This record gives sequence, C-alpha cells and structure tokens, in this order.
Amino acid sequence: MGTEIEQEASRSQDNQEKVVISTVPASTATTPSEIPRQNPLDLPRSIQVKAKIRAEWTEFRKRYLTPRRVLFWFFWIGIHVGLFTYGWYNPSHPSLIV
Amino acid sequence: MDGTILLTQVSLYRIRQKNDPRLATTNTIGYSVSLSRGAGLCIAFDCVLIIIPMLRTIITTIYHRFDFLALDENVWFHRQVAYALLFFTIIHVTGFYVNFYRIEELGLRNDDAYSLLYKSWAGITGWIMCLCMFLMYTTATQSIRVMSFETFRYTHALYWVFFVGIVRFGGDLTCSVVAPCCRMFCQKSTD
Repeated sequence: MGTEIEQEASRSQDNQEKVVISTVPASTATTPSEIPRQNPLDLPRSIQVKAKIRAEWTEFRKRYLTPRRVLFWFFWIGIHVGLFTYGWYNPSHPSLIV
Repeated sequence: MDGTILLTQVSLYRIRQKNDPRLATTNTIGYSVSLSRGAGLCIAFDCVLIIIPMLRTIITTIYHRFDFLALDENVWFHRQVAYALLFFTIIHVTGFYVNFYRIEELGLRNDDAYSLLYKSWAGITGWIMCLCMFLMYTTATQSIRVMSFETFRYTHALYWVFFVGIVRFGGDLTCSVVAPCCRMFCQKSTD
C-alpha cells in the first residue's frame, strides 16, 4: 500500500532510475515547500504548448487589450481608414499624380 | 444610413472622375493612382503627428489638463505613428511604382519610369526619405538601443533630413511640419 508518491518512487526504483523524490506523504504535507513539484519539462508536450499559449495570451491581453488602448486603436484605425478613403475618392489634385 | 451616404459619395466620385477632363490621365492609369493618393494622405497625417509626442516641454505642460490622452505613453504613441507611417509608405511607394510603369507603358509622358522614379525631384527626395526611415527604424530596435544607445540617438537625428525632404516633397505640409520641428530643435539645443 502507501501513498501515490511512494508507489511512484518504488516504480522508479524498479526501473533503476536515479530519482530524488520527497518521502513526505502528500496527505501530511502542510506547507508549499513540502509538496513535491513536478518538473515542467517532464509534462506532456501538449500541456506545455497550451500553458505557453495561455501565458502569451494573458500577457497580450494585459498589455494591449486594456480599455484605453482598445479605444485608441478604434480611433487610430478609424482615422486612417477615413483618410485613406478620402484620399482614394478625392480627385481634386490631378497635378499630384505625375 | 451611413451606407447610403457612402454609396452616394462613391457614385458622385465615379461620375466626377469620369467626366472631369483633367482626370483623363488618372482614369487611364487605373486604381494605383487612388491607392498611392490615399496612402499619401495618411503619410501626411502621420508625418505631422509623429514629432508631437516627442515635444517634451509641451507634453509636460499639458499633461495634467489632458490626462485622458494618455500622455505618459508618448513614446508608445510615437512608435504606433511610426508603424502606421511605414505601412502607408510601403503602399505609397508600391502605388507609384505601378503609376510610373503604367505611364511609361501608355506613353503618357516623354519620360520613362526610371527617370520619373530616380531622376525627378519628387523621386529623389522620396528615396532620401526612405533611406532616412530605413536607418532610423533599424537602429531603433530594442537590441540596437541596448547595445549602442548612441547609434540610435544620432541616427534619429536624421529626422531633420526627413522633414526637409517632406517639405520639399509635399509643399502642403510645410506649415504643419515646420512649427513642431522648430520646437524640437529648440528642445534638442537645450539638452
């Protein structure tokens, strides 16, 4: 019997892998430092990619999608589209062409 | 409602464009004229705007009165203007390449496309401005600024050449550009 951690440790020993693992049972771990942490690099690739995408999206959202910046982009792009359209449809300066 | 107004404007434009004898050349060349002209107007707007966020004394003066303008993010705004300027410059230059190619192809002028692009006054100033832009943009990257801030700083002094080129290139911008440039010169001279 034993906790999952102990079972994991015994499996590792069976495979003769040299691993360092905490002997503190999960049920008795009270502080964060006592909880054994898994190395992020050992996680499956898909989880790593999802975590990376989530972190990048959070970063992007906090940096660029604040209400003030969204408002700025709205006006900024609007002004340029308006000016471009006006310039496109303004035939009053034929001398500027060539 | 907006769609109706837009459609009316477009229809009026098309009628006027077709019937105005002065615009016969334009109609022959095609849509690249409209493309370059629309981008040119956006470039003019951005050129007027790009130097204003860098006028430190004015920003400091109006900072507390216009806090909704996010004047503490003036460098960020300066960068956004620069990105827009680059984007519309690419469109403008591409449009003019097509314009001059079509002019040569249709024989609308005696000059060939090469002369119009590289020997005319507008062409020369335009390429000088493009060169200044290239140098300023490439040395303004994060890596260059970290490695050699002086390179970034002194290359950005090419804004003078750029703005002289603008004044010569598009005379309509003279009034809008000269005042901020003079203010910037005063600011730099006191640094």
